[in-house]
Amino acid sequence: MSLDLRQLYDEHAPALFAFLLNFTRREADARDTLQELFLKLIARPELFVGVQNRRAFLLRLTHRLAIDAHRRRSVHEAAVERAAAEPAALFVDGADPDEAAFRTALTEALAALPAEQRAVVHLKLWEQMTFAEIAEALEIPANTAASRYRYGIDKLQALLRPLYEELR
Amino acid sequence: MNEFERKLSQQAFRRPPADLRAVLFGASPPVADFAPPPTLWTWRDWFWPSPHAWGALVALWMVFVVQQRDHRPPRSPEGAALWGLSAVVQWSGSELTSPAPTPPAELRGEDTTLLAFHTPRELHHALDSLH
Repeated sequence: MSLDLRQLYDEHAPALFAFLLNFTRREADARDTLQELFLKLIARPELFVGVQNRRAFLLRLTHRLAIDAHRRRSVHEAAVERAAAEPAALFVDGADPDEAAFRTALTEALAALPAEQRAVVHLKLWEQMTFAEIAEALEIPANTAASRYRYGIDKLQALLRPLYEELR
Repeated sequence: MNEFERKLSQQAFRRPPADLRAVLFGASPPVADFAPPPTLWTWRDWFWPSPHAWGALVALWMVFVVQQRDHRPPRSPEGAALWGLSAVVQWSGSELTSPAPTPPAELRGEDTTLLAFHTPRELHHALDSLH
């Protein structure tokens, strides 16, 4: 069997990096974790044997690696939240100042969410995954994924409503 | 997905650093070859080549085991006693239900009370000694 790793990178790395950037809130951490993930895959391509949904599988590995990386840096999961207090630039810059303001506000609002809520919101909104797929990727029950999403989106809506209404 | 959620999902995330791809794949070959790991052993691997033969063997064993269980005396003393008792009852039952012995020709029409206590063979002996 063979696995085209460059093709795999081209297809999935942008989504994985976006997830990592949103989850860790630090560009250096996102980069390190993405690199660690692909180094593992280069060393052990047989991990893909029998995998049906590569994106979901890669997101699961990425999530695990991101958590492990944070645990290595600090024994407390609060490290994720501390990191989230210093939000990295998450989104592509645009010319429209109103949209730029909304993106900045969204970046800050996402930082206000707990890391695990943010992970669920990210996979639902930006990966269009179902709750069952999110549950599998994050290794949580589907009901938990659904409730985390509901809490997360409600909080985002509360934080962004004034700006969102203004832009409409 | 409502309008607010759609608006959020339209925001494009930044892409991975441009140099990361080169760092990762600079020296490694683009395509990784690997042997699939050995599959786990299953019962099917054994049964598949001749399922009918295995099935017949299992059936034969079942018959054998059932027969053995019916004819073998139990190992515990209580069980053995019960088994012995049931064997006696079975034997006596067959004795009672079997037809009465035919009296010897010499005794036909005579009193056959003796037949209740002696076998025909013993009666023959007795008659011979009288002659």
